[in-house]
Amino acid sequence: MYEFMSGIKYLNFIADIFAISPGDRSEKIRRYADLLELTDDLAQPISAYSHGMKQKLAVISAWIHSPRLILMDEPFVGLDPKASHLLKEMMREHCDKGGAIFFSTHVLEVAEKLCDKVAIIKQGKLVKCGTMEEVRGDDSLEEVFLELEAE
Amino acid sequence: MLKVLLRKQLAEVFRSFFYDAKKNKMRSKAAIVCWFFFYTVLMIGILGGIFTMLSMSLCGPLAEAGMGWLYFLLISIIAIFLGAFGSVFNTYSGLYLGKDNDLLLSLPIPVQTIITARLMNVYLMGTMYSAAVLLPALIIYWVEVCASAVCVLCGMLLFLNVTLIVLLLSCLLGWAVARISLRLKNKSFITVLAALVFIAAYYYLYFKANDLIKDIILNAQTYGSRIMGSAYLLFQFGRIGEGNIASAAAFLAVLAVLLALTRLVLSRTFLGIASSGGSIGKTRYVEKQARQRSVFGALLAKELARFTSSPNYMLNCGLGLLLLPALGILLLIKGSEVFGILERFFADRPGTAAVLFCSALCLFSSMNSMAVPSVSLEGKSLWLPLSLPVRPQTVLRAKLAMQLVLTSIPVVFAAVCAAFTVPSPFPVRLLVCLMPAVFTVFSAAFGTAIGTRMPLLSWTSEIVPIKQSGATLIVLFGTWVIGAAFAGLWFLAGWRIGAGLFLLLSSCLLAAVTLFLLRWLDTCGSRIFTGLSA
Repeated sequence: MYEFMSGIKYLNFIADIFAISPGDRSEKIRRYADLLELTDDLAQPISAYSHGMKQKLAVISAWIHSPRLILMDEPFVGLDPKASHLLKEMMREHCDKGGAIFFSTHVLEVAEKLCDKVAIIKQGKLVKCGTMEEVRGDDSLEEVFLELEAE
Repeated sequence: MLKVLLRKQLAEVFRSFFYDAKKNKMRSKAAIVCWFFFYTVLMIGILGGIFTMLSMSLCGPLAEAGMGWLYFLLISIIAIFLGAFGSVFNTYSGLYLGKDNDLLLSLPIPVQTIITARLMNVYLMGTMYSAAVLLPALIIYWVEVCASAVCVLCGMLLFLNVTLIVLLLSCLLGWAVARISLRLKNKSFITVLAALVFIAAYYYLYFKANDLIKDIILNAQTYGSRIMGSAYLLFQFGRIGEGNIASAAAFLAVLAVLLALTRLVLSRTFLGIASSGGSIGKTRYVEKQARQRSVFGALLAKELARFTSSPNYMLNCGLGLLLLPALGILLLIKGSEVFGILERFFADRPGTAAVLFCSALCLFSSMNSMAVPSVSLEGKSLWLPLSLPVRPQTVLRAKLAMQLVLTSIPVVFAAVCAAFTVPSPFPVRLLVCLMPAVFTVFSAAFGTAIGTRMPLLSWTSEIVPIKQSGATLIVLFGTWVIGAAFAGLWFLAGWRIGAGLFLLLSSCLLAAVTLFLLRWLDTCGSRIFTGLSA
């Protein structure tokens, strides 16, 4: 992230790159920043943000241009429980609307509750992939993971 | 505890001697020895040498006039100025902006111990600078005037007094800067402004030094009696160097009390200042309808925001922004006079003045080099331009355009001033404007190309890509050499074809090279940029 920018300047920069109209971007910034409780800090420089605030800003910048596919790397790290819960809802809503999210996590409970499909990677190789039911079977995802780890 | 903290701080101060920030690894033993040797030569050989010359010119005449005290007073003032005022911002950052403030304050270490360790660091830095002035001055006095035991002892006490005054002033100034800084909104611009004022004052004094020394020597009696009459304490302070033990002891006692008080004030306020994020308050966000920019416009605005966010970037890569308008104004005032002198001096080569004016404009224009470190400054954010849906060509053009936007107006202003001054035919005047303008585009393209070809992305301090990279060195000296070569070519053969044709041909040649560089940026440069990784 460009730490020399303020949060709002960064969001406008991303919106400019994706050619989002002023009306559309204002509406989305307002909605997501309010939801993630970042509105009051949007004029602050990013360098003054905590890790969680940066995560929230990254989430808004990803959502601002309504992509169909979103890639996320450990999206819940640094988020407080409320923000984490809100992000899960945002992710679910995005997928329910026909979008897709591909995200990595080490928190298996989150993956189990949130994902439609799951893939387990071991030492850079895909070792299991499928719908949650296919991968998990009658066990929990954690048990499956530990079994694969032991092999 | 104090010993541990001091060892840690000294390791930080001399870190650059042991660690190569560019390569992100420890230096070899040979390199460490070389760095220490280089630093010693710099401090003793160059800085100490300058003040040895100054002391030699002052000591004899003043001592002969029975005014040794004035000699010591002047030298002490210079030592205090260099030691304290030269490092106001360093003191501020050294005392309050340590990255380990939170860590140290969370450990069971008394605040007074932290402050004492920090103060020792400030004392060491101030003493190094003061010593470069005072030690040569003392040695010269001992050699030329008197080297009795009392004189040597008092000389050492004078040194101690001066270093303590430096410490006291550094602390007070650092504390004042910290208090002001907490309330500042535009810290970057104010830091740049303060640095420029300091540089201007330094050069003003540097160029006036000879006149000042002559004036002091000629009017030593007058100044001496004035100081004795209206500032008796200063007179007594100067007498320490001459061997007045009573004055030395009195000043030491007063300084000890003042330092104890300062330490107390700093200890009491340290926690508040060091742990404060600033009392300027949070900028309130007010929703405004944003203006939609093009992709290029957004990237250009981002580059400009990067430039204006960093005092280091502005000071090291944007001096032309001030120097070009200053040159333009100087040409308006003194241009005709200079033109006349040059034309008379080079009467056998008419048009020389116009060509030299162009050369000067090119050299001043090359003082702006913000495009060079712009690729390196992406640093850990490089993934953004590489992952966003923007063409690498557009990213590089935005970096180039940033330098053009910032340089073109000052260059055009200075060039118009030069053209206005040169009493040549209209086509030559037009070319006096055109040639520096083409050079400015060339300089920006050259800077972006070299910055892309030699990026430095794994830096820990932004000063490394801005000031210490190979790309910066090549572009800075490269553009100077080209600007100077342009004048050299004129004297070598250019004058035979006349200033007008020479300027036209030079502009065309430079434009051709610039077009090649722009093409290179669009093709090879873009490929290189796409393949970069931080």
